[in-house]
Amino acid sequence: MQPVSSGPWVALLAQGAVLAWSLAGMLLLSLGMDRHRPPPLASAPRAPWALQPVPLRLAGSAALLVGLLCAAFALGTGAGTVLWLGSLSAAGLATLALHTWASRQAWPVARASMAAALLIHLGWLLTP
Amino acid sequence: MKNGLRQSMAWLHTWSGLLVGWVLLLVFVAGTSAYYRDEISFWMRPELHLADHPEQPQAEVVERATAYLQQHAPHSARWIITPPTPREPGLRVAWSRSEQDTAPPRPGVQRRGRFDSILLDPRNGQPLPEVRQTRGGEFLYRLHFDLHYMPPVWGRWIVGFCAMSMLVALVSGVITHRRIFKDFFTFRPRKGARSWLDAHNAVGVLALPYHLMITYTGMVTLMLMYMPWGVQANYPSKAQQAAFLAEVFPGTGGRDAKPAGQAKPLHALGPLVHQAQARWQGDPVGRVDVANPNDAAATVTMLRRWNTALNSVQPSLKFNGTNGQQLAAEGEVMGAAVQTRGVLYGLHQGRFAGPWLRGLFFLSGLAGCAMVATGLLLWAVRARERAAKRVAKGGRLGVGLWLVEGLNIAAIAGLPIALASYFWLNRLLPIHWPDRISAETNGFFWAWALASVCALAWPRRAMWRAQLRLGGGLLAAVPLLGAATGPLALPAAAAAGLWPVVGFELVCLSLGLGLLWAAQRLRPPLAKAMTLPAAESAAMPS
Repeated sequence: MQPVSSGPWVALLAQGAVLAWSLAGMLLLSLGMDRHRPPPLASAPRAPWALQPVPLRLAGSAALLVGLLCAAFALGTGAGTVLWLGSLSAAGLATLALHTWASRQAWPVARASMAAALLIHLGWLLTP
Repeated sequence: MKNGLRQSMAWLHTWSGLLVGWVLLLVFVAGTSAYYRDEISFWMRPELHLADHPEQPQAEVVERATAYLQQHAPHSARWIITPPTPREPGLRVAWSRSEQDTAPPRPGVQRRGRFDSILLDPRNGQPLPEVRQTRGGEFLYRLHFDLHYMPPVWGRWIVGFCAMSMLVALVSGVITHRRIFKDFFTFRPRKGARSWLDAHNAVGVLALPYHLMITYTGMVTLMLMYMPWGVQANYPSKAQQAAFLAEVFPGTGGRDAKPAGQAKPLHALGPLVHQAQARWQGDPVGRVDVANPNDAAATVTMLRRWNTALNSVQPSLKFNGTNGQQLAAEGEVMGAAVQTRGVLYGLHQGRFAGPWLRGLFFLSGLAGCAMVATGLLLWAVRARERAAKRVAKGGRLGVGLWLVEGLNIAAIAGLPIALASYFWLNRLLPIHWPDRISAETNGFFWAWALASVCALAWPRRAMWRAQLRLGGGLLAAVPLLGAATGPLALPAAAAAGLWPVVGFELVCLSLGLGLLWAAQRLRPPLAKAMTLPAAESAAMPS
């Protein structure tokens, strides 16, 4: 895949979107693990569908995949993959920090980063 | 095999990491900072901060550089012209000296090996007034694979050996890590050795693609030095080897060609720049290399500037230096092997990366530093636990533990002191200080040596705290130093849009605050896990 020819703003938006998708994906995947299960699952007798481990893992994987596609679209396959891997590392470290020092915020932050990623995409589409 | 594969790998991981860990930390720290070597160099030349360098047509800039070289080095065997880039606003010209030329360099001229160089104003081709001499970020870049105070070849062999050990440590570490997926996002603070292991695993695993890439590609960059036999066997004659090098490194062939000994004026370089740019669809020239200027055998080689492509191999055009006739175009059609090497080399250097991606490279590099440092600390923490039991039974602490403790302090806490000293000396030494470049680099190593001697003499908690505080304080105060000795303080630099200066000072501030925080955290019970308690220290070998 060749990178899209675009201005610096579009590139910046795309890179922001990749990071947001990576963070959302990592957080969702981590919340799908037994060790980091979100509080509603532990307290409520029956967790909402969206907080079941399997949907969380599927959503996390999908978010990471969208991030990869986004990176490849913005920078081309080679540099895009490098950007994606770098974003995964940064998002992974942020996820780890969140689970260590603010574990209750993991689920809200995951939702916020998904919303941010979608908003960035919207901005991307609207940027001439 | 020691009780099965995993145990053997654990043993291999421990020793392949520990024995080279301190050199690896230096390589990682210097290499990570080299992602911003242009920005570091810019900060270290405050005289350039306020210089206004609007973009100039490259052909005119190169003509100005040629005029300077014709005036000051007409009989040199080689000229190198590096036009300004967005990250390096000065026009740098370099020329080779003959072996007989031992005269001291003129003011403003920087000497390295057999080359002299100077920064020119791209608008008029005149030397930039009163720019301090420094190697800037280039020193750190070279340090990460050449080391220092030794022939570069030795340094490269040492670094290559350490990189190979690191690769072994990475692979064996992955095999050893039994709960790599279960513990993926796990860090349990304040739990002694467990916390260090978690931290080591986290920074190792989460940035594992980077660690594997940077280690492997680092060895690939010097593969022809480490394993020259394939080339020697397949390209036996000198002419064949020259052809091989021209294919692998476009633009380097024939630059050491002998002069004809017949004077002939050099062709104007401006039109050649236009010709090269036209051939590269408007891409700028990155470097102009003139061999035997003003001689009948003169050649001019132009290399394209690095762009956003992963492949680091840049095409080049070679011209006859007397009549401007194009002699060769290299690197435009590449074989699979050259492309593979170019991509691996490009990945290592990260020159293709824009500011964002460069930031991610930097972050991953910091994770690499943290991985090596936590690995070294982990060994010491575990060894101390074993030693404590021995001491309780009336035994003594071993020399190995004392040595590792001392070297850990020297490397982890002492290196930031050395780095900060380098920056402080750059700003505090008078501009006309004799042999200023050596004074800066020697200052780096003196500071580090002093920190190391203190660490080995007294490897205790107080030394950790003292050195972390000193390094942290010096780094955190870099913005103050910048304000006191440079033209603009941090807020003013931000207002003026001097982002390299702002970024550099903010990174120093952050790292400094991080070290100060670490020093503050070094209180019991955490400190107990990091250094020898007084009772145990008393049993240490003197």
